[in-house]
Amino acid sequence: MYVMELAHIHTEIGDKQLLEDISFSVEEGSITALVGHNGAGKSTLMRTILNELEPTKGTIHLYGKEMKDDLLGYKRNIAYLPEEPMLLMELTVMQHFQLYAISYKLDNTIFEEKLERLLEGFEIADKLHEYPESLSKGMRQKVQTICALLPDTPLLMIDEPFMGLDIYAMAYLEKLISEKAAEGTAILLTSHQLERVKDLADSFILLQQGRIQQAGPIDQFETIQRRTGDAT
Amino acid sequence: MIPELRAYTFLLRNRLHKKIKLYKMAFDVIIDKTSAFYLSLLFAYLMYALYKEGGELTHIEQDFNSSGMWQINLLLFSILPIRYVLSSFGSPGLIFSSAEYQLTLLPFRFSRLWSMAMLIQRFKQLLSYILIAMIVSLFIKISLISTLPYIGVLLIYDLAMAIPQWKLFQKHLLVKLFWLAVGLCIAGMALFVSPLVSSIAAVVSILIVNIILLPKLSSNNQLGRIAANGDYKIWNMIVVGAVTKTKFRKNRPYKPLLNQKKKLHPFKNDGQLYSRLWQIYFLKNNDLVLRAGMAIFSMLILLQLLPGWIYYLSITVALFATPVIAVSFFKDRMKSDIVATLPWDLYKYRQSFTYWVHLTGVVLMIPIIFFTVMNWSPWVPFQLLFIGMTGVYRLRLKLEEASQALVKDDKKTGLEGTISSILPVGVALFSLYPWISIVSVPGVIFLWIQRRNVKSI
Repeated sequence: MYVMELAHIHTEIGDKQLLEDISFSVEEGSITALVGHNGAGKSTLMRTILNELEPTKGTIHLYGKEMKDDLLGYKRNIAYLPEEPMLLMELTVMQHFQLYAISYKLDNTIFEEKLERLLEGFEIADKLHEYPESLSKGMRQKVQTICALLPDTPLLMIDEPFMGLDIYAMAYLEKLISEKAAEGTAILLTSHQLERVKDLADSFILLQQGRIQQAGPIDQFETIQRRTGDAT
Repeated sequence: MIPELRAYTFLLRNRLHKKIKLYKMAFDVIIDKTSAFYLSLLFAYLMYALYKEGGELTHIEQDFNSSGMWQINLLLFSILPIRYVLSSFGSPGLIFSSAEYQLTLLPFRFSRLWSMAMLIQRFKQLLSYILIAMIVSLFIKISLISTLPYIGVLLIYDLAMAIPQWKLFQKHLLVKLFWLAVGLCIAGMALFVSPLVSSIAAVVSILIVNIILLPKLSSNNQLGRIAANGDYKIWNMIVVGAVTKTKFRKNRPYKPLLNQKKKLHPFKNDGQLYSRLWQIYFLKNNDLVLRAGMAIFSMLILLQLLPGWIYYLSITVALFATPVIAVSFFKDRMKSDIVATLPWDLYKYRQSFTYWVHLTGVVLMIPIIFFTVMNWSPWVPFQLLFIGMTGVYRLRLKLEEASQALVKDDKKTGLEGTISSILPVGVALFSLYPWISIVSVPGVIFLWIQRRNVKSI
């Protein structure tokens, strides 16, 4: 079943076309990798899906319902892990987790169970009552990652998930992403670490100058990459 | 040429080139040459029409030069320092960005760099005052000479308050609030003692503060914080931001909040979380919040000196402006930082926000209560009730509209919206028809009841 469907999305700023005729869909339990050079439109596409940028043409449907019809419901169904941590410097690590739990209306028992597991996995249980300002960049990334993994949303969007993480945290995150997908969450991710993406994703979308250049199962990606040179 | 001056002007030149380039790119995107041509024609026509009409307003010049203005000029002397104290909540009064900060790390003298930055920026400020004065003198036909004393006063204050504002910006919020209270007390003397005493007190205080602070100018400066503010001022270019749909972020923590141990505890309930989010937002934007609040508060205090009907008009303005300003803060909060990416419980965000606005409303009611009590009549209780209820009602309605706009819900408040805009006009008529209050209170109560039945987001 399709979780999200994008049909003929165009995003423009003034005369500049940022995205052109983007159409694709993501299925329940699938992991889709958005790949492309710097400036290809990956982050713009993410921002458009998040409704930070309004598409000038086209539609975005989530479970068949158009985004515009129920924006609040739409946002409740998407969790997002940004490339750069967007933590509030005045909230402690624990308070950030509470912010996510309350915003996504997580049941308290489930929240505590999930949090315990994630804290242990990312080894930051001792940082709960610290402010992000006192944490290293990698630690902040871990906090932001946990925030995004806490809610059980049908769609999880991850921008450069492995950026700033150590190899243990990367391996753990990879495991969690696979688990989430196995539970039925559709995952849309961008990454420059192609080897990891190839092992993780089951389909890819190659963007070039705001257009979809190629798309298909991940095993085709290597062939395309060889043919076109380094695609990302 | 002094090495510091050469380095600093080099920096300014390159900054200007970069900004021009960015603006050019932005304007290329948004401006179509044909419409720009017609718009400039329309603008030129409007200017000409205003200039022609200006002849009708010559009486202003007589008022401007009348002896009554002397009192207002003195009042200006005592009130102006408050402007700089208020600005210190969000700005050191001088653009000193990370580029200037870099220069201080090179073998240049800080005091020279600071003085040059200050003098150049004050000179630019002077040019803008002269330009404004020229426009004013052109349209309302007062001679440019008449405006010179005002320009002089503004320039003197700009120079005299440079060091105090620079240092005050770096101080704790409570210190700033203390100096704001001092400023208000000195200005208050103009109302309750005499404008002359008040202005002398203001000038003497500024002199003493400058004498104390001057030797400390180069020491203990939080240049990182000042540079972050400067970078924001320079590169937060509204037009460029609007075109690229990006926002220059000021992501520096609000330090006083980090220093409170009780703030480390997890939230006990949702209410605490929403309240903290608003607290963070207000403290981070304290300069804007205070400026907006103080502008309305000052209006409600100062206009008490004028005839009653003008004061009632000012209450009407406050009733219009307060919900509009509050709503703009509400929308900005929802679209800022991490909150923008989260699913919103708009009802709870609104509820928590309303609490803070009501608190502000109570403060704004103080001068109104003072005025009505001083001009007591049997209508006063009804007038106060009407003003309070109208304020709360308009706030709720505007917040509801803003929430709908945030989720792109096209529902319109229609008739209710129109009525809510008419209600404050009733206050303006209080001096002529005081009975309006007693007639209107049931109407507002009815609207309140109606609103309770509307399903909100």
